[in-house]
Amino acid sequence: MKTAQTPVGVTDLIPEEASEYTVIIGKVVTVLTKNKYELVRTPTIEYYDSLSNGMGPNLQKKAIKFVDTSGKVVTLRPDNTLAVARLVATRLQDRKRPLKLYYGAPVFRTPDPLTNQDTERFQVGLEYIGKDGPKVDAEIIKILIDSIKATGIKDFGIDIGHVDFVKGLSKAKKDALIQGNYVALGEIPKRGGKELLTKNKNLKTCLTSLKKDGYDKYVTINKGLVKDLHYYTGIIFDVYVGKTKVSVASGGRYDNLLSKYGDASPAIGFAININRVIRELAEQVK
Amino acid sequence: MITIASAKGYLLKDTIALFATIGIHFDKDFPNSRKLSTIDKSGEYQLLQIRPWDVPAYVQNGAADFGVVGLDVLLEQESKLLRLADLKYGGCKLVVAGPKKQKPSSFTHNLTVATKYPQSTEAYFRAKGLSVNIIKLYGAIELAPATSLSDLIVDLTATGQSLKENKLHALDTLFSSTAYLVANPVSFKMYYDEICDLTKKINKKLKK
Repeated sequence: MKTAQTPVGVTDLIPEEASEYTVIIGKVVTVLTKNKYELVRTPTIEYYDSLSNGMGPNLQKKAIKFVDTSGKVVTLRPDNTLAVARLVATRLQDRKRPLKLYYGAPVFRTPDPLTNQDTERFQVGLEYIGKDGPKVDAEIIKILIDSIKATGIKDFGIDIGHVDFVKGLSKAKKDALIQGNYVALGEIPKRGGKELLTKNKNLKTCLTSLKKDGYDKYVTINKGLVKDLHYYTGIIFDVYVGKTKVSVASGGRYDNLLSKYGDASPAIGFAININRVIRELAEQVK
Repeated sequence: MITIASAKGYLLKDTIALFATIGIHFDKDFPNSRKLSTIDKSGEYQLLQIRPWDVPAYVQNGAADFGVVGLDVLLEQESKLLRLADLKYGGCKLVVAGPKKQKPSSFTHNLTVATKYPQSTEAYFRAKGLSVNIIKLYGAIELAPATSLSDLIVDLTATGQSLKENKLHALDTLFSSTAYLVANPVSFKMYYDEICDLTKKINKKLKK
């Protein structure tokens, strides 16, 4: 018998589901366009070599790869930031900075065997290119919080970390953090408020700016927040939700990624996983 | 309420005893009952007893906030749960065993290996540069060599008694395992203060 099923972790959307996606995406896009971000599109298929530089080992493994007709290895876009970075450093390299771009596009990764979900996940996100500093960092986090609120999610929080938190740690301790192995790390990483920021002046400035506009109630500093993506160089953050208990958005500063394509611009961005937002909203009304 | 999923069987008794020492009292008869869940005296914690292999799925999907499960299961499933504490009990080893005594360096290509742990087995032999045929079994692994189903087995052993009774020799150890306290990464954030307190108390007890 011919199979009529979809592969693991991908799905059709019937009219009422598709319209829910459109509505939620629209709410986020409204926040982004209000902040003067412009839409870009990148192809679904990319040369693996053009993107693999910025991937961590985990993403390299999870990227879905195949060989095209000329024998080159291509990948289904596993991450939007990598694709936008490639675009910015090539066709947009002469545009005036800062560049404010957003995208709405799926990314593809081999599914997690424990959840069998999200082989294809739809992301809406932004990239802010050409300027750094704690004010910019705070600005991006505010837009992220506004976007999450716009979706209608009630029970959420955002953890903020910094790559400096793990500087000076041994390779073994860093690996333990990435794996979430706090037994091997020897301690449970600290979480809390600005009392944890003794050395990091920029992060303090960022936090003060968030507080001034009333965003601090969503924010927790997390000394153990790490990302498997290799491109982050400064602040990193992660939005978690209380009903489905997953991360629905994440992002951070990646000042060295563009230089891999010959463009030295600093950059920061985030991506919201719309599939997970919709699952959280469904749980919320139960 | 905080939900803890524990592997049923021998780990569960030790888990209930450990929680009792830090002031969380679950019904001592829970392991012998047919109930799948129970609530502690304070009404703040719920305990589930489920199959060891299902614990990571419960915790990863947020159906339970925390879990108690053997490291062997975590490693085999390559789970992304946060490991908070090594609870030290439930000690055992994952070993390669076979009917004749031999050095691991004498293993050859194309051996057939029966196991409940195909991932760990594959990783072990790949690290040795060997390609093997793995047969996934769900129980009575020790029977495989005697019935010519396989040349070797990879199985969990605590005392070595079961290997001995089936005339098998442990040839190499893949890893040692004990029970671990694990957390869903988001539950960890939501109950951060409680979990830090709990883990601190547990580690203090275990050091004694």
